[in-house]
Amino acid sequence: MAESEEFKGQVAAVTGGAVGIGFAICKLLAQRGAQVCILDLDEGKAAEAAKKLGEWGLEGRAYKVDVTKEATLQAARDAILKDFGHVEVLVNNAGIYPQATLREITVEGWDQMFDVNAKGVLLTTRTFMDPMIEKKYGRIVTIGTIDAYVAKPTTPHYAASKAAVLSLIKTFAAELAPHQVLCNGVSPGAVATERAKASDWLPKRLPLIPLGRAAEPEDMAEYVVFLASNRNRFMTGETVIASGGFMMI
Amino acid sequence: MSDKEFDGQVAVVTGAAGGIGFAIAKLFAERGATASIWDVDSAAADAAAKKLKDMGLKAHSQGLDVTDEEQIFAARDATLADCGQIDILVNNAGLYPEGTIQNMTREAWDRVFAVNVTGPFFLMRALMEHMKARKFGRMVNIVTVDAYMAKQTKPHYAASKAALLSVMKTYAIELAPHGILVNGVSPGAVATERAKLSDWLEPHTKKTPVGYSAEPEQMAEYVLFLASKRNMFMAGECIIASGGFYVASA
Repeated sequence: MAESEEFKGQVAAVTGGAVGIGFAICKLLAQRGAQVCILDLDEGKAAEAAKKLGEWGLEGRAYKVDVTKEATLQAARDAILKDFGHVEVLVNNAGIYPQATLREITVEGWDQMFDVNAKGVLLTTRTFMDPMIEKKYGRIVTIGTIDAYVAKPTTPHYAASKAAVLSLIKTFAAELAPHQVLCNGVSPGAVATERAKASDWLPKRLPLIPLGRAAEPEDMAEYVVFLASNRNRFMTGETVIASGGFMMI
Repeated sequence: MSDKEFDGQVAVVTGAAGGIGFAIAKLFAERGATASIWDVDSAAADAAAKKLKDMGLKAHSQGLDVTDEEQIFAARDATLADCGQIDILVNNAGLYPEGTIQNMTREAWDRVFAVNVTGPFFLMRALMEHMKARKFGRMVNIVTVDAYMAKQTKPHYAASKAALLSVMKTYAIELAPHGILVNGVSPGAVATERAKLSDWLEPHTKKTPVGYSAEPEQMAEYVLFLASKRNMFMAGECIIASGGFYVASA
């Protein structure tokens, strides 16, 4: 099997796929032969991302979704099924990451966090599982974070919403395993996205990482793509932690 | 990933004359590596290496008892002399004997810890300097879902694998700064030839949500992924591949 053919004939949907880690995942899936559906709230950026893939000779198509609104997800799924006829891979990557302490968090801020990061994962997975169940094949990969396992004074709502996601991954796995739909997660540590590079937390984190560096978005995409592939035939309900060793210390 | 992702690399797999170990060695060789088959049964190691060579693959064999550090040094030196380098170590050799709290003997306890914990500890130590000098290495330890759960029929086995998890993390911290990533794979039910003859595989498979047990080749995929350059940021972690068994029972 050649590298460019691993996902040949498969369709992969990636939420929040227009930029950052999401776009790196889209690119790697496309390089390995998948037809990639870029699902994003920002229609313009999604179209731009699809165009970029096209310029590299890869296949990508943009769909607008708001992961907090089930009807938009169903519309995107139906459009994908109309365009391609099937969908084998879903990557729940869309998420928000605002800073706020216990004192600063507003009720609206709390609700929005859980709406996007937790409810969004529930609604997206529920929307896309049916075509996978029908085909008796599917791979769903959801992005967690190492913050889900540790105290996080600067983003308690983010950490809690992602802890909820880790629980959802296990429920999906138990529910969908008999249908040969495998559900797993990837919890990244420090990833040097453009946004992270502009932040003040990344330089503070680097000395604490045993590997001595942050991950590139492409590094993280490898874990997602492996779990999304047919090389993975026996792992479900698990979340892989890729933190450069940070989680051990 | 290409067809020959491990081209030019040498992968040592312990306990590789049969079962999951041989499936791992074979997949390494199919993806371009020289598979160095280390086994306590040196005749079986030779036969396994010959089988791979007959398929046109690159293989090497070495007999050793992993509980004896002198034999580990000798195996390392012989492999380096024959193959030139070692990029990957898979600690797969292990014992899986029956036993209960009531009938456990000190000898049985010590023997399981010698093979399942002491062996991997000294194997990793014996190979780390070579990998450090080359600023690259991947080590993968075969653990088990039993390491996380009560195991009335094999308390010594489960405890030894829990200890291996700890050893694995210590090596991961020690070696990460040198570009050597140390991780583990915890299999659930795997349909090896030996397991197929056992009385545990069928009930375990029934409790596995995906509805089947893994083929050894399927387990090998996780080991190869962690041993590859696709894995650039994971250290000290053990991935559980149990067909959902662990999630359903935890």
